Amino acid sequence: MRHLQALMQRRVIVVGAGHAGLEAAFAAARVGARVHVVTGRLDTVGQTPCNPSVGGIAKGHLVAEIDALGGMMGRAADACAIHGRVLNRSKGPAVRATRVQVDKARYGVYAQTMLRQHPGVETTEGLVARVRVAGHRVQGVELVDGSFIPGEAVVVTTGTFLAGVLHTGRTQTPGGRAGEPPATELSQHLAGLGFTLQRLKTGTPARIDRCSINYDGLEAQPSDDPFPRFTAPDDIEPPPPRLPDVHCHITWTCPQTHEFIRENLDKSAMYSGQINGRGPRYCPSIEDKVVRFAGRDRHQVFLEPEGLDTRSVYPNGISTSLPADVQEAFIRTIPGLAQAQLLRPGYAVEYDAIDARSLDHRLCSKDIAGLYFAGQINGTSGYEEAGAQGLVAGANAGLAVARKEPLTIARDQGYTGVMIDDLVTQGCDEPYRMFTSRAEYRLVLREDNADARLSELAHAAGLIATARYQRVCARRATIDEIAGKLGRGGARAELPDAGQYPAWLVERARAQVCYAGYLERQAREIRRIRGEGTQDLPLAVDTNYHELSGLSHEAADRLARVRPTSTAQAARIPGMTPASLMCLWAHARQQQRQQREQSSTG
Amino acid sequence: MNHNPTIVGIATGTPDGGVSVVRISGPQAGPIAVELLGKLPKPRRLTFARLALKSRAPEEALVAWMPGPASFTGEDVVELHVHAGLANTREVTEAILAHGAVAAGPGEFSRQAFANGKLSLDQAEGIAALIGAQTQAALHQARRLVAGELGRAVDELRTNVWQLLCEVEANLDFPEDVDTNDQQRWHAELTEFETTLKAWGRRFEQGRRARECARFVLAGPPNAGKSALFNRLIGRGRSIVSNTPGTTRDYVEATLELGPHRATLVDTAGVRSHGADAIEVEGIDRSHEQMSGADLVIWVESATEADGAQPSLKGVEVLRVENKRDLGQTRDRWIGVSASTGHGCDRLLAKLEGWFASDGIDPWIGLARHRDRAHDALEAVVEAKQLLQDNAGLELVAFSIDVVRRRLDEITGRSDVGPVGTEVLHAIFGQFCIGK
Repeated sequence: MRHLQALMQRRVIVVGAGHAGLEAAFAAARVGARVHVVTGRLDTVGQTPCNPSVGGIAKGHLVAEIDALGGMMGRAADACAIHGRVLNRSKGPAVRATRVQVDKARYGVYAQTMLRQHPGVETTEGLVARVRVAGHRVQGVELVDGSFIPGEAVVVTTGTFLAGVLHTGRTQTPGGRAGEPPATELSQHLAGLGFTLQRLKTGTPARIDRCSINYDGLEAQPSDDPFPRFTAPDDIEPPPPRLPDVHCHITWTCPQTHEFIRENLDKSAMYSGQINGRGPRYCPSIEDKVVRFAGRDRHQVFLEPEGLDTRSVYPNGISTSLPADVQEAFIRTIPGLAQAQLLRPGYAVEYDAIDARSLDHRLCSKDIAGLYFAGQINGTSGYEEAGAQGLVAGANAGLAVARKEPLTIARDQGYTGVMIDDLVTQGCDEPYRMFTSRAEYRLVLREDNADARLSELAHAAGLIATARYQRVCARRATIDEIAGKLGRGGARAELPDAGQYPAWLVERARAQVCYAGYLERQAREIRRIRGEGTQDLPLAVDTNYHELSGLSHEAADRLARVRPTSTAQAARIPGMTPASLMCLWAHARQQQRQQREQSSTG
Repeated sequence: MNHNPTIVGIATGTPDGGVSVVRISGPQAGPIAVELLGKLPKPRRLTFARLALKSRAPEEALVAWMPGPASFTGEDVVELHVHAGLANTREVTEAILAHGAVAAGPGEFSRQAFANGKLSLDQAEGIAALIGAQTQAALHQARRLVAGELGRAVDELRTNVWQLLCEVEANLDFPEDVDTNDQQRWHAELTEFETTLKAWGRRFEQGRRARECARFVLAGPPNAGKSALFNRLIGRGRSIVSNTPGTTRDYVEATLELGPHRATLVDTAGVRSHGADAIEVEGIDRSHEQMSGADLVIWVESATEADGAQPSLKGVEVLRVENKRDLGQTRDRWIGVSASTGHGCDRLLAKLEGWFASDGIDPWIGLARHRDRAHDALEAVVEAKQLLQDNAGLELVAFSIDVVRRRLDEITGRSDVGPVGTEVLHAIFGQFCIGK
């Protein structure tokens, strides 16, 4: 028994090694935990199974935050980028975002190398069947082969593998993604532990052989110059060298495409009623687009190369669950793709996700100590969303086993904070993706100031080294200095000695000046919505809301579903009325008073 | 189990009439009524019943049972029509309190109705205004407010603002998916919002003038004959009149009836900087105070004297009157009167009545809070337009448009405390084909 405890001690087990799992493992290791990664196949670690892009609007913000918190994604994307653009360039810096296309194979190799070499991280190939729990506390994980790995904390990052089913036309194959088996036992086991599971759906398009595409007449999309990067130019570890640059191309579907799809709708897994899971509205399949936007006679398709050494091209915009022969036929109606050879058909994947409202802001279960969840299992979609969650869950698992203060990111500190708060407060009924309009503090949460926003938290948690933190402080001091010189002239003012500073720092200073004044205005607007002068008070997760006087039945139901940890979180639950909030504040104040009296008398 | 409080209050005004209505509203209304009456009458039918009270003799009452949510408050409601009188209504109320109801605070029935979505905030405020209305004009306006006229106008504008916000947001989050970046049209739409809100502003002001008792302040240098004019205008000798400068030491008020409108006319001490004693100085201070609080200052000077020093009056409307026209004329374009002969006073009164006239503007309901929020919304519209013109960044334009939306929401009290942005996203996905 003592032997087991010694093995458990300070060990964090990470289940899965996708974008969430990797960030979780590295973050837990950085804060000092011993980490054990269990994954189905070590050769598919860090895969990018859907599109080859990393970043984008709001997602680029998340990558910048992962980087500021010492994570891998930004560096890996920079090292493997073969195409890069800054989106929203015509708009202000707050909504500008970096997006790169990565060489998928190289990205995987980068991740696998890092996993192999990372100090404090060991790996096991295997499928987890159960999380062993005793007395509402995690003990470790049991694998399907019967072996047991002890640990004090477990981070579950199973992506689309939880009871995953792949659909192509009427064909259904159990699987997490093409060619890999699902985690079915674990899904049933989590339901047994009391987690509410819901069925979600996502999809991916067919892959096309580059040599079969006729690029004549298609609009080419070159990379931006200078080539955008996630890591700072003065990073303490020099940014990796760049790979050669490739073009993306744009084509469009046409009326024949739509007609053909309409004729074959009954063969689509989604329209034949075979799929029950909710798909994301922001990333509809081509069947969905044709049905829902019947008035449109064309939809954009981006042709994105998946790597330098592969002929595989990702046609972004036509994900589908139609049968393979129908896919090939409709793709061939698209200009440039008349001769298209499919390397593999597209498919829809249905999987289980938990209701993230059962988690707290550390992404830890409210009911089982030491059990963390991150990524698609929490209902999100996207590599970046998964990575950011993985980092927070992993860091907190590591901090918890080291008995240190948790890492929580507030909504006004980062998109990561917005996402996690949305997940644990509202849950989601479709795959959750980050958008800038989700962030009420959008103007101050910029890609360019992620380091300034988060480095202090990162350093305090041990996620970044002191030397790196000092670098960020120096950077910030220079930016403030430049901002001071720009002064009242505003973001567009002449800078007399501009040559003295690196251009990228001047640009950051201009961004800062551009939103000066909005900091306070944003905060004021938010206070107006959520109640002026109301203090944020803690709420116990075991509060019985149905016994609180003054709460409507409906409000009590909502609160009981979310079990908020503070009055501020309660205020963000959709449908909460000011009247029910006043009642909650009264209750929280009373609890606080009682606690104070107890501690003074006891 | 539902722990919402059940409230009780006397719904009728004074207890000295013949009948008082005691209203119970909340989840316990039914059970309490059963305790008092033995059983519940048929819903929505006025029914005779006897109330079991502390006194041995039962109180005879007419009872209406209106189960929620189809009631004024949206809760279960029982109304007891009992004999009026302080002692009687108190005994009835106490019996109800004893069964677990709590006493309703001011406006609490309306607040319940608002919380249950039966009334918008502007309608609830209309009810308060209706009860408090003193004049015909105020009553008329309050009725229109209760009927939801303002709320409908706000909702209509809000829908348009909302539509624009969604388009702008779609451009920010999905620049590659949407191609509706038509800044010229956005600018035109903002100009339309601006026109609408400016018209609201004029109508609110007109409404306020028609509704409230205006304050007209007579002011000017000493011995200009203000008090004589005051007495002439109100038609009786209310202010003391003499030839000695500085006779009026304090201000004097009287009601001035102007057709269907009513104003308070205020006579003040003459304003001068030299030769005043301590009491007069105090009087002059009060004159300044009155002028700054006036809806209209009637600045009076004498035709026989040179120009007095007129204090600067920011934001106050001033009407210039030259008195003692029977003795001469020095100022062109001032309204000439003679307080002693009455000459020109009819013209002055017509001018004062004209202050209320609407110049074709339909006077509008709306209380100070509505006017202020609409004004905030207008400022944000102007800001959004400017930002768009300056090419300052679409995210800042979005910020301002969102402020417009929220201020409009505040008028009807519909703003949700829930998450920011979700509502916008839902609308965007419904309208634009997003998705790569």
